Amino acid sequence: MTQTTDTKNIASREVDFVRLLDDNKARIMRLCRAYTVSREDREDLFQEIAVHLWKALPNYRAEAQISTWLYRIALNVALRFSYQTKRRKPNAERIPWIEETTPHPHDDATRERTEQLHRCIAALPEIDRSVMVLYLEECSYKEISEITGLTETNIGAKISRIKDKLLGCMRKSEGGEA
Amino acid sequence: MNNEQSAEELNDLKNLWQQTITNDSLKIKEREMLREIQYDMDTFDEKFGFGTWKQVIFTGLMSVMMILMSMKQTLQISKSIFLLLAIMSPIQFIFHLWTKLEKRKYDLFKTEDYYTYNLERVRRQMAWLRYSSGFFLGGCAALYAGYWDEISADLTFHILLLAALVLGSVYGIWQYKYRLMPLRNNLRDALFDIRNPYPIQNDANS
Repeated sequence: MTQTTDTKNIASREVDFVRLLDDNKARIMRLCRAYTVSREDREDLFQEIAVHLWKALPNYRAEAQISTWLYRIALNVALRFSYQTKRRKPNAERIPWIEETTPHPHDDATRERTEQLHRCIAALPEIDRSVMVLYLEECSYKEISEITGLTETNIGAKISRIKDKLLGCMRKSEGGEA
Repeated sequence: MNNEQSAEELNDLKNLWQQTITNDSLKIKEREMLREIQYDMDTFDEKFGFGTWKQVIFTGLMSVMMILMSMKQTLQISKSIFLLLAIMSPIQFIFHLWTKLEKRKYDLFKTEDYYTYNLERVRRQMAWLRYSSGFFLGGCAALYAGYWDEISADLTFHILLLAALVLGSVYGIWQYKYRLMPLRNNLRDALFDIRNPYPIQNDANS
């Protein structure tokens, strides 16, 4: 009886997990990109986040928005991963389960701007990077506050400062290229 | 004007950011990934070893066998080669059984419980390895003091016994340092993350 209930739980958890991952894979991957340099690290981080989501799924309460809950977990894992980039999963065999293609047939200028945006974000301190990534993902100040634990006032001040920094970095590089 | 321009630039950056990777540009084989995650969870028991029914039964039977053999030999020649194992096996059995019974206190579908229970298992396994090293050292001392001379005075017998004790110790140290310590540290980190869901609050709210 208990085993049947467990099997049912696991099956429904699988369905929820696959749906959750399918709906949010781009969000997670963009976050991974902000915290890693190589493609290999990005895939490792993605997998770590997926493992944490899988484990945390039974604890999810509908009181929080799913995106808030997901970003909170993903950001935790990404920050830890960033501190410990040298740590690799022991004996883990890489299986090709992520295929990444260029989203749109961008022209060279757009592609260069995209790369520049990533470079500018990567140059930000970790806390600022977290806040900026969430801002670019169109999270509200309230959501960012719930995810990071920072106060809304603090976030407002931070975002205004980081925005200037980011735009300055982008303008500088565009000016440099011109 | 300046603010408007900034707002426009920011909107442009938001669009650019969201276009870098889209759901359509990613093909993730969720099922394959899920299988890998589950495989990782399934092999947890093999990695820890402590507290599985297999180990409880094995060490239980081993304890009974070693005690009987040791008693039989002690009655015959007052000394037993199995004495050390007759002491160690029941202690190991108690460790396994204790870990197995503790499992009932945890809801392993809850992340925190899952990590707490497995951390306890690793800690117990580490404690057991510390005790067993002590027993092996005791065995070496007994061998040196000639405790087992009555059983056989043959040099080969002494060399084999010493080799078994040394190999047991080396294996224990290797497992402690290279398997259990990293596992314990990872579990501790994971548990810390779960209990502190706001990693950047402490140093950033200032």
